[in-house]
Amino acid sequence: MITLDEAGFTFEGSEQPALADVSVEIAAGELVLVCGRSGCGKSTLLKLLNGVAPGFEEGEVAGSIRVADIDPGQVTMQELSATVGSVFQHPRSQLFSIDTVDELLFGCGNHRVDREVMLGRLDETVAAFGIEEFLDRSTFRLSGGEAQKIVCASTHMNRPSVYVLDEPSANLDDGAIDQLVEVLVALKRSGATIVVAEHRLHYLADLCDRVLYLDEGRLVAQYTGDEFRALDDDRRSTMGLRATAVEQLSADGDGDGAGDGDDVGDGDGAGEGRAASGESAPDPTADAVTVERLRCRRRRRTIVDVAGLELPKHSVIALTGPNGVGKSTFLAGLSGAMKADAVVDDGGKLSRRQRLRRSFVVMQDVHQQLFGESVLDEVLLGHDLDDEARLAQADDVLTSLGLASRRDVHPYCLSGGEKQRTAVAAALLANTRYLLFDEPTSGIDLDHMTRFGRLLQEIKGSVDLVIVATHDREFVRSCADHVVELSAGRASAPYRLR
Amino acid sequence: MTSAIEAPAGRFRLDPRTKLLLLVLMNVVVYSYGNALFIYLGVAFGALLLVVAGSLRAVAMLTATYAVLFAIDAVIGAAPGAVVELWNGLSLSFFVALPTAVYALLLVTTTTMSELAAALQKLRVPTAAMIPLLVFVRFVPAVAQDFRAITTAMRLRGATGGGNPLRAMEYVYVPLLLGLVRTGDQLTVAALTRGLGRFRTRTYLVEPRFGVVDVLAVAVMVALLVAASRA
Amino acid sequence: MSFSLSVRDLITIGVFSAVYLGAYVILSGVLFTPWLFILLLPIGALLMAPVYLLFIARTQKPFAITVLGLVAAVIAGLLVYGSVLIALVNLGVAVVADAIAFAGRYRSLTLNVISYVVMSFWVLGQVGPLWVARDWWRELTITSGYSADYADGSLDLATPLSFGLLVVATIVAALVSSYVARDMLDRHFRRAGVA
Repeated sequence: MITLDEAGFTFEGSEQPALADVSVEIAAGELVLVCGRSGCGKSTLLKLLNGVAPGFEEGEVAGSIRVADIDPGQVTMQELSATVGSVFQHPRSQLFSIDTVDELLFGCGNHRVDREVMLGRLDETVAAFGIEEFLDRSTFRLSGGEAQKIVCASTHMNRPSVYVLDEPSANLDDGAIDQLVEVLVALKRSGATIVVAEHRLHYLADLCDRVLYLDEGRLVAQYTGDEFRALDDDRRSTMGLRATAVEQLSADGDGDGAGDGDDVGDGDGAGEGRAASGESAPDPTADAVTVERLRCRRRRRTIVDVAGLELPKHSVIALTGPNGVGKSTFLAGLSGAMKADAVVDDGGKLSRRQRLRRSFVVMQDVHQQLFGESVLDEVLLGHDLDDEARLAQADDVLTSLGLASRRDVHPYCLSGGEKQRTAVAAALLANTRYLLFDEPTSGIDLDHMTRFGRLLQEIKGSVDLVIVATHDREFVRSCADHVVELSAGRASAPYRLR
Repeated sequence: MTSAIEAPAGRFRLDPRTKLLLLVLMNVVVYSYGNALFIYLGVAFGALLLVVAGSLRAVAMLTATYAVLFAIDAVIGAAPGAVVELWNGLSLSFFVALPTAVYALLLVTTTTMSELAAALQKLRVPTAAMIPLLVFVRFVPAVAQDFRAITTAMRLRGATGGGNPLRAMEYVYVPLLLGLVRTGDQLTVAALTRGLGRFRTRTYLVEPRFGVVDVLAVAVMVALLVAASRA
Repeated sequence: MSFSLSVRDLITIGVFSAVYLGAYVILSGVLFTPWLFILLLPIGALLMAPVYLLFIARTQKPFAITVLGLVAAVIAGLLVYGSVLIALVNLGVAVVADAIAFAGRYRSLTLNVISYVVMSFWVLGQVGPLWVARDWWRELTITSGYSADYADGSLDLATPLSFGLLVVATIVAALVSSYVARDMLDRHFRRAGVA
């Protein structure tokens, strides 16, 4: 179905090819996983298959490429899209329409599919994807997972024979990933050829027929599904790949917590944790920020309703729970960014203004909080650039965060991880005491995840509170000290993870 | 699920082209003849069409606005002169804008984007000319969302420009525009890989077609127009 | 220079019109009274140069500005005001602005700024009737239930002098905004590689 012969690509303005000498055959009906570190060329490989390179991102193609007997270089992206369907990382920015039915019909309309055929396909797709409940809904009302499902379904409406998915799970939580798995199973059953590039491997490990491993723009290894699943953890981590299986969190935390006889909460599961902590309440003099009450309402609905939560200081606290459970709202309420009914005690009750001054929230869309013209300008925002002492301090912080070489670059040009670290640097220089992260690990590979975890461990001593709101269990297991589970707006008592 | 697909064929559904025509005709009634009686008749007819189309929320909104306007108008006579002046200034815009707004509401609240696009295509508008309009509608709420997120972020970081409005403007624009450039590109790629712009025209599930209701609605409006011009 | 707008350009136009026009829509909501409404011209001009100049830098093709004006004409002229005439004024201004920027092949800062100054007058269609269509305005005011005194009072203020002041204020505001925008383009958008 897909034949690459010494295929490669060099982006315009770049000396180094992003991808070189890739020769591979993919048979019809195969599900192939493409993996490797960030920047290994897996995205580029996918862009060659769906024509995004060179159709949208200009550059030089090498070797020969055939997808379903088409040379992607010889047709427009639009023509190719009748045969090759694509799904990308950000669910929302792929939606063209404001209601879901229009979105599903978008591709068919573009390809001038007849009305009757369109209707028939719509019935089939809706049934295959189980999306009846989303029909007639505004696309703005969809969660990330739902949006991604609609995007997949919309692609399916074109009935392509090849699907190309570029990190489709990057912004999804566990529940949404389960849905994505269902979608992939349905597509596979329909006989489609599927190529997926991913960092998060656990949901694909059991599904894939073959794995291509890329490193520095080259195809360095190929595995069958069974070979790949048999790789041991050490081998996998030296390849820079994330886990192929992730155990449930709560069970694990439960065991560990009880084992250490830990002093903060007794590690009961989510539900009872709260009640239990009320009795075996930790020593009030212990170093903790107490959230006596935090109630946040949005559109006349109570989103977060937390009481008596002890947040241990100098510890990396993971705030977990599925998307939409109120993690972001909790951070917004705690930090004072959002008006909330809050009683927070940290050596005295804190007003909203005080909390606002002490907190720094690194947002999920971190680019929305970067205003500076360079990394240095960003971290000194609002301060005098001539202040020698401050400048020296800024340089120290940037060096310790591995940003020294990027100090004069515009923040827009940074990678996602660098943007995050820039925000952290700004927070540290602003004497932040509560450092809060909202979903910081979307779409990052193993190296970046470990590095980010290490960073948190390093800075937790210099700020009072480090809270990471995340749905990424793998990340929680590897980097957090304590876990607070949020469900239906209520929080469990923190339990210790290691 | 059937509603989205079959509702447009419902008996009392006006063709989007009719709604456009009604909007234009109502404008002529308001701006050319400016006769209060006929303007209110036009408003009533528009409200009726909204009710028939099932857009009850729009009707409720409209009725509430008029009720408030008239109520204030009735009691304000007793207020001091300056207050009356101010009120006159404020309410004039509403009285002028509302009658046509009824028909704009009819178009906007009872037409899906694809119906409108299909109707425009029948009027020989090429897809290329419709893309910016569709993207505009799709992005207005997104821009508003981004704007709120950015102003929150500014507050959190204390980046309010220190009283310098130009600085504050920069802090809003830089992340906003850079973000839009990024999402615009992502949307472009997603649209191209689903075939947008492959042909000059697209196909639509719903074919707009004129029916008896369209003829009736236009007839009523034309009658109103003729009567207004004679009055 | 290519003369045909690609899908990418058309989407860029849509995205930027959401900011450009969206801001005007919000502003006109805030200024929704006969006399404050005319401030839409200078205030709009003061705010939008960064959007407009980045827009030109992102498209750099003939007709992009015209299509932006077309979206404005359809939304603000046809749908909000329901007036073909107003829509034509909106579109006409955009065509002139496009022609000016085209003269510098969309790369001359000076001509782009002049194009922006001209474009700032697109809402003249919505604001202008007070001066141009005096009788119509008076009649409309009176039939809407206002005293002739009130109508004449507001028309007394609509003199050639006040119009001149409005034009001057708008030009000055547009130039100030362009100055800020140039700085923003240099320090941000060019360094970020998007302009």
